[in-house]
Amino acid sequence: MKDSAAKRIFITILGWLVALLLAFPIIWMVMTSFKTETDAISTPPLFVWHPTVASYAEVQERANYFSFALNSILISVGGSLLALAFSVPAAYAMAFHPTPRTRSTLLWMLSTKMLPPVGVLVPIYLLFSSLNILDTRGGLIIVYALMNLPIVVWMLFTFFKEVPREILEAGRMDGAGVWNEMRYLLMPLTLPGIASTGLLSLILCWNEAFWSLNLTSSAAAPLTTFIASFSSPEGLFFAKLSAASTIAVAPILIFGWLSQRQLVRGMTFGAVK
Amino acid sequence: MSSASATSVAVPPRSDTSRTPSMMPLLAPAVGVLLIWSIVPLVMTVWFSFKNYNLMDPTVSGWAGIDNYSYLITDPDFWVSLLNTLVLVGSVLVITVVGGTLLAVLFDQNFPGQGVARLLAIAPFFVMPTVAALIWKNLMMHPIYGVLGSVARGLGMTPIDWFADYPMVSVIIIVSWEWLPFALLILLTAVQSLDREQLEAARMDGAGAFAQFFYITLPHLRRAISVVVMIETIFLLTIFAEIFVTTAGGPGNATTNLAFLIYARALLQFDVGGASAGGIVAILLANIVAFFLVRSVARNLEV
Amino acid sequence: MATLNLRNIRKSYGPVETIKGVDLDIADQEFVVFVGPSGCGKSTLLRMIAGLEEITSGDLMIDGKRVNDVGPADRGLAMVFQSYALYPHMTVRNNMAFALKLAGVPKEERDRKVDEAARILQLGPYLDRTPKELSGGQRQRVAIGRSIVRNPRVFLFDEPLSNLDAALRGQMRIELARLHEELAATMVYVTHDQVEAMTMADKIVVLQSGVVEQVGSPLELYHHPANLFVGGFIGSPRMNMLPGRIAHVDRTGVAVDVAGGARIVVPAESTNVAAGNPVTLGIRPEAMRPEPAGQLAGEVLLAERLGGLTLLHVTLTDGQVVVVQLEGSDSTRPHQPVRLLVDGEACHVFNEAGRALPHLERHPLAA
Repeated sequence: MKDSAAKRIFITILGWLVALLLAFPIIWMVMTSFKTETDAISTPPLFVWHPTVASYAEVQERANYFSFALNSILISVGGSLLALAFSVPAAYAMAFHPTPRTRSTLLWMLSTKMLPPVGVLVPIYLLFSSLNILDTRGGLIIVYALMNLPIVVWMLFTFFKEVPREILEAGRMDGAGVWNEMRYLLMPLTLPGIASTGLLSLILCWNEAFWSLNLTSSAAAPLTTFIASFSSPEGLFFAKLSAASTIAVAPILIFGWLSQRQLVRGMTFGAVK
Repeated sequence: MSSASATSVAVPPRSDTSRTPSMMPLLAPAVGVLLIWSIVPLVMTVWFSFKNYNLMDPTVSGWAGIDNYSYLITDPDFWVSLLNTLVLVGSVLVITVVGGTLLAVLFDQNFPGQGVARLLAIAPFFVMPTVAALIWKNLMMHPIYGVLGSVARGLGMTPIDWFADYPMVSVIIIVSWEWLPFALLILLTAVQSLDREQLEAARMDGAGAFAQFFYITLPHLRRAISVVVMIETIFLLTIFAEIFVTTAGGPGNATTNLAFLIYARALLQFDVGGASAGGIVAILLANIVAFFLVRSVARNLEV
Repeated sequence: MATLNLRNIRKSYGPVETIKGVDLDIADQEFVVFVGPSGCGKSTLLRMIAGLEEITSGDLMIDGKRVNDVGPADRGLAMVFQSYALYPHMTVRNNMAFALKLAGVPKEERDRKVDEAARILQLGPYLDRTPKELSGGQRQRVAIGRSIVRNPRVFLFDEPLSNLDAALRGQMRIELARLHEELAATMVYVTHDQVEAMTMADKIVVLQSGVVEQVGSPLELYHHPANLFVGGFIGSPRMNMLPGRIAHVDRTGVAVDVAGGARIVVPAESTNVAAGNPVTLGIRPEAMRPEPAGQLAGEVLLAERLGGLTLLHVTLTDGQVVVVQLEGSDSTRPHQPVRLLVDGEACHVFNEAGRALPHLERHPLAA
């Protein structure tokens, strides 16, 4: 028994060490965001300091931070809602009324997700440019919706599949028509699945940084693009960078923690259970 | 949809489909937009790749034949970018899969605060790429002000100027940090689905911790590992933002991967034809992986 | 008041026919059990009656009216599913009241009916819980309650006890039989368990590969199986099947020679067989007993002692193993040589096509 107690302590220490090391850049980022610029670059690094929120204020002054944040929110929510609007009916049809072609339809949808965005960067850019939707929220919403459509359909499909067929049959025996089935059975049973699918889509949109960097510059630029503007070094900026990054990451980190299980399901297309 | 009517004539419809109205109106919008999204740009890329087309220079026009391709494969930058892509993908895969497997086994153990520790460990996956790259580049890897530099000095070593001396290694570290939690998350889910009785049976058969890992856990994870490899490959082949905000492909072309090369050709040099040819190469590369991934998913798909 | 009539009912999926023409009459208040191995089509047949599967051809009549094209809810049936199919997000009360609510029944009447059903099924204390807070047996009862409140003309049960443990299954069997009596309703019940079929049914329908093999009362099927399949399927332990040949026939029956030269005389009709025909002799385990003068010789392989019963596994001289069921505790030991006396009157002779030669006399309880 002594042996297993030692092992337990070892595992505890190792587990926490690994976890803290992996999270360290994030923790350090949050800490730095509450420093002054001079504290931020002090060597050796400061672990005790007078916290200040000055950097957060400066970030807002420097560039209208809230407009970037607003863009991120509008584009992520818009893209996710649009994807859901197309996906819910499609996943419903395939899950509850499968036909011999459902299988190949699903696999084809999955395969479209394999198309590397960079392979179609040129035509999308030119199309956007000729349609005058470069650097517009609407343009990015469309791209994000399409980009995530396969994942969203797949996730919804697996959620819908989990509604036991017999429950719907029981509903039919009880006299529920299409409308009552939707209202009393499908809606309450699938709403959690739809919500967590939306959440995953939200995370993916929020963090997307290929299309946002290439298709937006200012008017519709989300936070990913705003943060990228820190890439050219300029005086003292560690604290400002950290503050801007912290606000950009915090909400989605919480969503991510909430939806880790669904993430596995969504990102692996049900191949890992 | 002529095929739809053809099938319904050939095979008597199942009871469900015959009584309920056709599901086409529900399915068609999603299929339609995806069809457009996947076909139109692809066809355009192919089209452009055979054209002389420069955004800044209207005098360049007309058919190029295979000039864009022959120019591409005789361009040393292209081969460097291809090599860089493979080095980046390969290194990150090895690091994340090996690390992810070990961490998955670690976090599968019970220890105090395990839940919180796991949340911390997976956090990097939810950090947007531009933030991840810039935090690492500045707060961590800056030779003077970065944490790593201070640690090195504390240990009596000379701090490394990461992005000047080891640009590719730096990018690999950042990308691995982002994707290690992904591998951990997927593999942890898979480890947890392992039947505990199998491990107990192995222990009864005299298997130690290592034998249990290599003969029971690892074979059980094989499928999950292959899925992680394939999905990561799809994403890693087109890593862009991390390079864009840290090295811009440099110094020289040291960190230019295929995605960045195509971006530079198209939006910095305005050579649409050349960029499209590169895009086709990227698509072909992704398709090789995609083929195996789709097959693997298909095996598990119950409709 | 409900009768069910099936007229040449067929079901096909594409070119594959799974139900191959079923004719069946179910009388009012009858408890009918469909039994057969998995894949025999019994569930499909039930689901066709329920209206959940389309009937490819044939007529389904309830109370003499053709209902092929009537929706499941309008056939006046209720179904208890194998998985219970309770609505997980509704309380027990709402589960049971759902059909009434959809039918526009006023709230007081709904409550009255649910309370009544809950009383019958002893579910009173659980009405405000959700299904996941209930045990397997309680869920089962809710599923039954959900069908009771609709006051259906016919109850349909699709393997309702297969998810319960053995003890609970025995208890629910009794409860269902009691319910059948109390509600005086027509019930159609699907199971693969011949014990359930034997204990509950007024009438058993044995199905195999989409074909009705035999219809009859439990004892009729037991004592007068129509063919090899029914003979082998009904009864536990299984009927022993010995290959043999007809020695001679006369008005009193058929004499069959089986391996080892033993001759057994069975009082069965001999009109369609002649000496020399190959046949199968079916011997129920309880139709044999060890006796020095027995016709069959062998060696005891194994003795299973159940206390009230003893099952002897005996290897015959040709290597075939037969099972013998004895009343009480028996002292016979393994490896002991034994002779078995076969009661020819309780044996069955199946011709080469597997059809039973009818017994000359019917069993008194299997009229």
